Amino acid sequence: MSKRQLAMVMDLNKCIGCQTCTTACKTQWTNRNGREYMYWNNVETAPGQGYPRKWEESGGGFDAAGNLKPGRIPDLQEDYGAPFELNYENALNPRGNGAPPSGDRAQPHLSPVTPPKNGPNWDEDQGEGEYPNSYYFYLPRMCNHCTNPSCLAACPRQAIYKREQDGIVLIDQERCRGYQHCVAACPYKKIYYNPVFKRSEKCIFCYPRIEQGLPPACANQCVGRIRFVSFLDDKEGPVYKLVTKWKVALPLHAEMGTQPNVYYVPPLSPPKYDAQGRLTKERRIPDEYQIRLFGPEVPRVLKVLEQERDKKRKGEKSELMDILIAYRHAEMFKLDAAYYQKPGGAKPSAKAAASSGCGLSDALDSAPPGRSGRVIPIVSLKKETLEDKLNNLEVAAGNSPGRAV
Amino acid sequence: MSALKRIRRLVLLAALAPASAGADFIAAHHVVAEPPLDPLDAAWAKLAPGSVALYPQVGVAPAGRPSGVLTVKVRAFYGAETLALHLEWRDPKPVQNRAIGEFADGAAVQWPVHYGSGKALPYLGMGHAGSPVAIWLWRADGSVETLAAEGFGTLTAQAGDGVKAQGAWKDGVWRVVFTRPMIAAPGDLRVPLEPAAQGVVPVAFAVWNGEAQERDGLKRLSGWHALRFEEAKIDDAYAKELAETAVAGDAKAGQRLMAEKGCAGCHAFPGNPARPSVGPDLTYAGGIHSAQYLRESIREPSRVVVPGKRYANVQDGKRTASLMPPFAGSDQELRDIVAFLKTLR
Repeated sequence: MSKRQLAMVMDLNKCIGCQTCTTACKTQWTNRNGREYMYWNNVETAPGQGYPRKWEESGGGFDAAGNLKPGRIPDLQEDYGAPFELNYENALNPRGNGAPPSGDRAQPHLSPVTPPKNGPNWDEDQGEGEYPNSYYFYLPRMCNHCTNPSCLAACPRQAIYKREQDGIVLIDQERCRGYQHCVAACPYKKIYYNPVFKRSEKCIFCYPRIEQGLPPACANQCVGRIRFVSFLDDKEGPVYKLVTKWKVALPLHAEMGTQPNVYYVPPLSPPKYDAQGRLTKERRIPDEYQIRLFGPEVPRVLKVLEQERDKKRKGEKSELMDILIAYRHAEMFKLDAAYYQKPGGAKPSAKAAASSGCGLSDALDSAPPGRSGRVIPIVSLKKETLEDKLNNLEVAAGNSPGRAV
Repeated sequence: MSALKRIRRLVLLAALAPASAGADFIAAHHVVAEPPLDPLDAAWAKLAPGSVALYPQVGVAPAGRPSGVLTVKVRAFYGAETLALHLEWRDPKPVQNRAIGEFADGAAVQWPVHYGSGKALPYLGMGHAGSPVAIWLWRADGSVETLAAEGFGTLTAQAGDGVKAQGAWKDGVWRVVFTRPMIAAPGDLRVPLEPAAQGVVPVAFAVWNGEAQERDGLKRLSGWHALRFEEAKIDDAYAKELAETAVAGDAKAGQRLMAEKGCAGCHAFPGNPARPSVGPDLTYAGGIHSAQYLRESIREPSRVVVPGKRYANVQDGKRTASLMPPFAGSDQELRDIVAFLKTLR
């Protein structure tokens, strides 16, 4: 466990599925160099197949005894959905290249060259249930920067590390050799293999922004104001208030054993209709479904949310509702650039410092190992540190308990 | 002028012993011209190969399953400037691409960075702390890397030492040639090739089958063998050290002792009905490890302990000793156990 933990709360009652977070992340980090297919942040329709397809059934995480569970590496075409190649030349310049006009049929439509089999958001807004009781909600997902990351436990090279100062989980691009054990081991399937650089990559919680006191791009750009970011132990921060004080934010699939640090305020829903078209007392989104995602606390949380909402409706005060409404954008985040500048424990890693700001993309895009011409020390961690890590690490990506340092 | 004619074959100094007999010398034939990098060059076919047995890596996670032996034929040429190794093995279905969930076939050659009379060999599994290995890795996607390691999990890319590799798959067989200048490009962790000073060089091999999703420790590997430069000064003492001598022990008695002395409580091996995973799996211990290493590991388990795999006791964050107690039996019992372990291959 790290000394401190940055965490995020997402209020699912406010998510409108606009994908602004997805776009903010993609344009910042994943629109080039083998990352085209990756969505470090995505918003999926729940219930639904999710992204990548059926990630909830793809294994990984830990069993009750703390052993790593086997996991699956998703398929690019079937599960992630490769980015579409469009027939620009045909559709936009049909008479180019000396091709004859296409007869009666005017111009071909702009469409994917090969019929896609899947894609992120393939089943957007489908949901479940029969009219008038059909339902769905949006579920934004990103790396959970777990307290007990199974990706870290599965890596035989200690290429994945969790930062002491804020618990952000990162992949050391010098140590990673692209074995993809982490991809299989992450139960949320939030690690991606970069086929160009032959290494794995993941959400970095926008640490170069964080170190300058700015929220991650996905949170900053969120038009629905659903994302709160602060240290889990900061009593003045919104995350502490929602997770620990009000206890209305719950982790996703906590049973996978990784202790995720992205928390969700479960969505309320209008009542169901009965066969005669009368409103019942039952919620439209079945509690059982939400319990499967967010655990047994869901009914209690929904009740608190309803009570506090009613207070607000009556004109009474509700601290919880005031936080969730997020009147002031700035109050959704409590970060501290100065914390990262302090001498001692809170100093950013040399790597982070060297690549703060937009320099990070240079770090991400640096030449693959072996081609840089740079001599990498045999153990890029200090020898003792590596030895200690190896010893303390109670995991061996196999038949041993998986509690991380 | 054909490549064949350019190559003047000299006297073969050591006949190749079959891999199972232990003393596994691979002869490097001296050539006047540059040895061919093309694995399909006719010169290679004219050379009698050495036969090296590769066993599934089942000792440490991520480990494969016991699944039989793979024979790799090894040929070698060397000239004044270049050493060339030719590896040949059967693979009905080649995988040449590295992508999401897809792993290319590969082959690697492992060398000790320091070797010679009196110097213990690095731990076969990628060396150990203070005893690094140099590795050449070829993958079927065409990539070639110069690497170094001193134990599991420490594999690190190095500036190229001049190694080149080329592979060709034909009719169900991979043929791969590695070449390296006798004098490596500057850098620390290289294998010195100096036939004038030392005519035998320890070497080990590994092969990955991409079709079976092999990568990383999921591979097949050989024990330490020795490359013998044909026209070179042979350090007889060192050659003797590297040569495996027959183990004077009773394997049957050894098998019984495995149960009596408690070995079977922690180690998995054929004939042990339990599949304990406290210590490394010994299914192929005899094929991969030398009798000398096995003896040492039983007498002094703490001398080399595989790092990071929970095979050592940890006190106050420091590794103290191997979980395995030092062997307290007689020399004869030890010989018997080693004789039994050498049958595991």
